[in-house]
Amino acid sequence: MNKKILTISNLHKHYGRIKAIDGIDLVVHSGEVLGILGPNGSGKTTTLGVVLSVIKPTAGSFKWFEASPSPSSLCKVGAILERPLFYPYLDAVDNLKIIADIRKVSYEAIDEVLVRVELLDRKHSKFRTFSLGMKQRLAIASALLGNPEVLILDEPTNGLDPQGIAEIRTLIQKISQQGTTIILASHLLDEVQKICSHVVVLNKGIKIYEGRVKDLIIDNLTVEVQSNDMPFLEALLTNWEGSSSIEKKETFYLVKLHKGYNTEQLNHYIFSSGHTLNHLASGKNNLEQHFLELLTQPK
Amino acid sequence: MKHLLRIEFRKVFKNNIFWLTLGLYVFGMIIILIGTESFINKVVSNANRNSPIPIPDFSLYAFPYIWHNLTYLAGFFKIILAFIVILFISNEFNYNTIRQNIITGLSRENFFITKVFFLIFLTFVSCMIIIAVAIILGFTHTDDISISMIIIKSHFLAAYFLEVFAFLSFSMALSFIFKRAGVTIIVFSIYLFIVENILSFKLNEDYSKYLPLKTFGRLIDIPNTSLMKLFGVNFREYIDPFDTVLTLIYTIILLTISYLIIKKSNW
Ligand SMILES: Nc1ncnc2c1ncn2[C@@H]1O[C@H](COP(=O)(O)OP(=O)(O)OP(=O)(O)O)[C@@H](O)[C@H]1O
Ligand SMILES: [Mg+2]
Repeated sequence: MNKKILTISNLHKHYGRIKAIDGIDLVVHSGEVLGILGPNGSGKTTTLGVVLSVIKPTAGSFKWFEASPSPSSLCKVGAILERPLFYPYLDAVDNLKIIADIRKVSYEAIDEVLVRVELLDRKHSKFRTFSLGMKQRLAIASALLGNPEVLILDEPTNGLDPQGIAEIRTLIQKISQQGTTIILASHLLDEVQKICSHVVVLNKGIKIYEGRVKDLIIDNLTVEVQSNDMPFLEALLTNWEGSSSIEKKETFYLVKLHKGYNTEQLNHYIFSSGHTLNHLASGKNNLEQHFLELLTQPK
Repeated sequence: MKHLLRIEFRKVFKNNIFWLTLGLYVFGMIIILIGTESFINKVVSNANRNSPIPIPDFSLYAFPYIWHNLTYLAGFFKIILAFIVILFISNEFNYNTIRQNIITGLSRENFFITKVFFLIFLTFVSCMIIIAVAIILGFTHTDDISISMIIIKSHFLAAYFLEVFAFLSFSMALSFIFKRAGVTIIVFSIYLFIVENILSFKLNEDYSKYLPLKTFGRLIDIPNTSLMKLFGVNFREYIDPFDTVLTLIYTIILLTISYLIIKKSNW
């Protein structure tokens, strides 16, 4: 087993009657790319704020690198929380020099991270003159400064254009390939599906799902099927060992497959039973459906 | 420690507003410290025309009294330094950079220390202006100079350092409590100009002597001048231990308030 990077135990954060976090346990191992998924207000930022020691928990504890948290452990964690926070009257380099001084990292690393986020040509522009996308990229640059072992990114693609989003995702993937552990909070399922190896789903401050992204998708493959003889199709589907549930929609059936079954096997089964389909679509947003189901399930 | 200084000074030294306000402060201080003597003498010579007894000319700049005179005058300008402190501390909340500092790995203790450095720096600048003016004017206005004459009253400088530092600690604590520059400056001004004055008027002397800003201001009393001697008024020419101890206690309390707010808050 890889070594534990972050361990959260029974964490609570209450603001008066609002339970922003209501008992979360979590372990992040080295090399993982963990997506924290949840709707607005589910406690993602609060959880990250606690482990980054800017928010005091009401109860519970956490450990970085299997040791009690200290400011020096945070020097090994690069993080963006919610939105880029810099001194607007300083240029990119001076802002990064402050970060470098806090982390006790050489200034030579600054140009390097600016190259990685493609801001080198704006290194002497004041932060307040940056566009939102540039601010976001500077934040990522600051998080990367000093090659931290862990990167925490709270909605890093917030406010970026499609090209910017794609660039940032590619960058995150590259970083994770170098062995950096990444914790990414997002409410975009697509993003988590594309980038992450593991996922935790939060709702109302409670963890409602935890596992590999891969398993989540295979677990819950849903397929739309349609043929000229819908009653016959229904009978076929009911008899097939691969279908876990069949739901009749307006013009098609929505079939949920058991674990280990895929679209190809379904198609093969129908065809070998002497029937043909005129519509077959495997749900692209499986994670999204699963996510919505998780959220609507009464706990 | 050195990296903490670098962190704090990068935040302020590259800021135009900082240099503008500090420049105004330095310029204003120098003008007033240098100009006061001739200003007073002009007033006095006007008054002399209808005065039965001749009022002698003022000399503010002779060693050793120059220390007392300059530190007393300079005390009126410390409010500008307080505004600089309020502005730059509230920036950290305004831009939420205190949050980023902590996330990056700056401990809350060290964040506090960087701010104390900032207060010390401003206080130090203020003292340097006084030293520079005292040396230039003192040497040109004193007839028989000896080392002991220069040093004998220079403890007023130490008292001045304490006065300014305590005052800035007060403005820092308010900045941490109110967070926004505008609100803090208003509260600060109301307290300084109205609340303490009303209280010191209404309260019995036994209590009013504990008012913090009045205590800081009392460290250096009005200097005695030849004019006052003429009228038989005699102000304190020494620094009162009671005021000194009370100022020190207040400074510690005020710094502790700032520290605890940094330490205990969610950022
Ligand atoms: N300072 C605060 N005071 C009171 N309530 C707060 C505070 N900060 C957060 N909350 C509440 O805690 C809950 C969780 O907020 P949090 O910011 O962690 O959500 P999130 O999952 O990051 O949402 P989003 O996707 O919108 O960023 C919300 O109900 C929010 O209103
Ligand atoms: Mg959030």
